[in-house]
Formats: sequence, C-alpha cells, structure tokens
Amino acid sequence: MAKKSLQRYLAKIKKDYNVVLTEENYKNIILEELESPPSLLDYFRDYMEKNKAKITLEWGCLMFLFIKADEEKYAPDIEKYYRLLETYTPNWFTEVGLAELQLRYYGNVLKARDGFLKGLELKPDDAHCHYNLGFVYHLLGVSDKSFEHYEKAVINYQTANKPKEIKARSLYNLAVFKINVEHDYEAGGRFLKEALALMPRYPEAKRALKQMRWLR
Amino acid sequence: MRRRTTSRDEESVNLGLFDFWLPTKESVEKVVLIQIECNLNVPSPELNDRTPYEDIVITKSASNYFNAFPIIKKAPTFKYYHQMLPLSEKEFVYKAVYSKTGGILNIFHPKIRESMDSELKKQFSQHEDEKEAIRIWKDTPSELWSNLPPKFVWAGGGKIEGELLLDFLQYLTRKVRRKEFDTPGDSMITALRNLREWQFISNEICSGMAPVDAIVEERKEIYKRKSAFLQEMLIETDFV
Repeated sequence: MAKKSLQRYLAKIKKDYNVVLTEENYKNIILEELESPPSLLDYFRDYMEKNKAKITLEWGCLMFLFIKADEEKYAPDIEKYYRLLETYTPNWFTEVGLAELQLRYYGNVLKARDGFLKGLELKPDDAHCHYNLGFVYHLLGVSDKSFEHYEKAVINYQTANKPKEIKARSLYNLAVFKINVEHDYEAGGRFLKEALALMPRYPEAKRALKQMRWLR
Repeated sequence: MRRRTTSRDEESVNLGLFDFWLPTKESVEKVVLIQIECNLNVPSPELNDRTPYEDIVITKSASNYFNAFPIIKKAPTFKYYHQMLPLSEKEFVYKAVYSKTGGILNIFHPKIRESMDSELKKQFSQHEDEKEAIRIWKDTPSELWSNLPPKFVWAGGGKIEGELLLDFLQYLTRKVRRKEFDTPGDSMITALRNLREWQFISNEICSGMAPVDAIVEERKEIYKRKSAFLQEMLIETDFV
C-alpha cells in the first residue's frame, strides 16, 4: 500500500513539475525548493540529520508537494499534504504554512496563533513567526503581546526571508502601537523614520508620518 | 490563497433602520446576543430600578422583564432571550464565562470553550486548591477575550457598550462598502483590523474616551454592581 502511494507521488511530481525524486537526491531537492533564507536551510539540514532514521523518500515527496501547494497557495492541497506529513516529526515549514492558511484563508485567528507559536518552538527566535504573532495578537486585541512580538521580529530580522522588509513592517507596526495605544507620537515618529530608512517607498509609513506632521 | 469554500461567506444584518455588513453568520448572531447581554445590565424604572439581570435572579423568572417590555416577545430575536434566560445556578460558576459573548471587543471571535483556556489549565496545574486557581484566573487578562479578565467577560456590557455596538457596525459597514473579498480569511482580517482601529478612536458616545477604555470602565462598574448584588442575595459565585 505504502509503496503504491510512493509510486503515485513520484509520478505526480514527474508529471506536474518534471522533477525526478530519488533516494539519493530528495534531500538536496527539498533544500533547493526551499531556496532561502540561510537560517531555514540550516534548520532543514539539522532536521534531516536529526530525523535521518525516520525520514524517507516518501517524506521527500510529501514535503516537495507541500512546498508546491504552499507556493501556489492552494488551500486543499496544503491541508492534504500537512495531514499526510503528520506521521513524521513536525517541522517549522509545514506548521507555519498551515498557520498562514488558518489566518489568511479561513480567518481562524486562534488556530493561527497556535500554529505560529508551534513554529517558534521548532525554530526559536524566528522573525517570520514573531512578525506573524505580532499581527495575530493585534487582531486578537492583545496589544502588549503584539508589541512584544514585533519587537522580537525587529531584533531577529536577519532570520527572515526578506529581512529588511520584515524589520521595516515590524517597525511600522510598533509605531502604530505607540501612536494609537500609548499616544506617544515621538516614539511613533522615530519608529516610522527607521522603517522608512529601510524601505523608503513604504506607502503606509510615509502616510502615517505625513499625518503625524499634520496633526502637530 | 485560492478560494474553495463558500460556507462562511460574509453576511448582512438588519437591525431596525440600518443594514450592516458582517464577515460571518456567527458574528451576526453574536451581535444579537451582545445586545441582549447589554440590555440585561441596564437598570430600568419599570423594574423598580433593578437591572433585568437582578430582577430575573430575584424572581427566578423572566416574566416581569418580558411583561415590562412586551416588545421583546414580538421581536424576531426572542428565541435568543430564551437561549440566555433564565439565570440558573450555572450562571454563578466559572464555566458560565464560556457562554458569554465577550462583547464588541470579541465580536469576531469564535465560541470559546474551556478546553481552549490555557490560563485556566495553567492555574489548575499550579494550585491544588481549585478555588484559589479560579480566583487568580478570573482576574487575569485573557488572550481569548481581547485581554479582558474572565470576571469582566462574565459581568457583560451595559448601556454604553450597547450604543457603541451600533456605532461600530456603522463604522465597519462604511469602511467595507463595495469591497470584495477573495477568502473568508480576507473578510475576517478586514473586520478585525477595523475593530482594532475603531476601538482606539475617541468617541462621542463615551464622552470622547476611546471605546476600549469606556468598555472596560463600564464592565468594571457592572461587575461591582453584580458582585454587591449577589453578596446581598447570599448567592455564592466563583466570580466574586
């Protein structure tokens, strides 16, 4: 039975993506598919090493198909391959992929929170998880935790896929907190300027700074 | 994200003169429940300046309340009053909080169950005495209810929160008018973003205060009044 499904996955990968996965190449192909950031590649090298007795070519196929479903943002396949991968040790990529699905597709903020927290357990100090938790806690109306996670995203921004963007967006959100919640316009202005130094064309930050000047 | 399901499509709700936009069927129902929760905490001369809550607890029946306000019986929302009343012993134990709406600040949250409450689990695991665990838990701001502590969720909102609810629905409807959403997540995030924006904007309904502060203040007062009332009635509750 397991052999049959493996053959099916291999055939699907060959047909849909023109890639031939083998026992010898699947680990490298997964790393190639993940591309970046370096911290994620290091994480997966470590994951594959620690779980070498458990992971198989079937895991490689399922991970490959999960990555593709995630790239294509195709919700039913993300869920399908996540479920099939549940028999293996959890990994950061699938947990965070599912958390993003819960948030962006279903709007299930509490489940998304749990997923990003799990992601953080698997890859501590991960800026992507901190950034998303900042956003999730903002939606949940838990401002102090939102601020805390945005701050940590700023500190650990280099672990993210687009480090400058994550840092700039986190700084913008810190500014919004300072302005809206604490009415601290000075600190808010400082965060906005820092965000604009990293991403000079950041429209929301530009607009907010303009509004602040107008208010004064 | 590519759309596949349509089961949680956005909804519109008609509350008297206005049509409002809401992201889910659940939130439409919650609006009605929040209004009822708020109404139950507003004292009225028809009930000798008691709140409907107090009157129902004293008389162990909602008849006085419904007779004083016969319009309720004719309203299409009457079945929801049945769902929330009468107020039995269950109302006074800690589990009662999971039957509450959490008010405007939690209007888009799903139904909260005890199994989701990690703070309660934590307190139970740290304290052998269950009462002590509940005592700490009820005062601790909770992620499940927009940082409101369980005791304020249990207490419910009042007149100001009721008025703010309509204000927020108008605000949200203005903001999302003619907007199209790709996924249920997209409409939910938009609704929540607008809620979190609105809650910090100074509002005339609460004398220029930010709605979030006014809501907490009012719930504090309602909690105080409810606690005093239950103590006077010699009714034991986990929330006092």
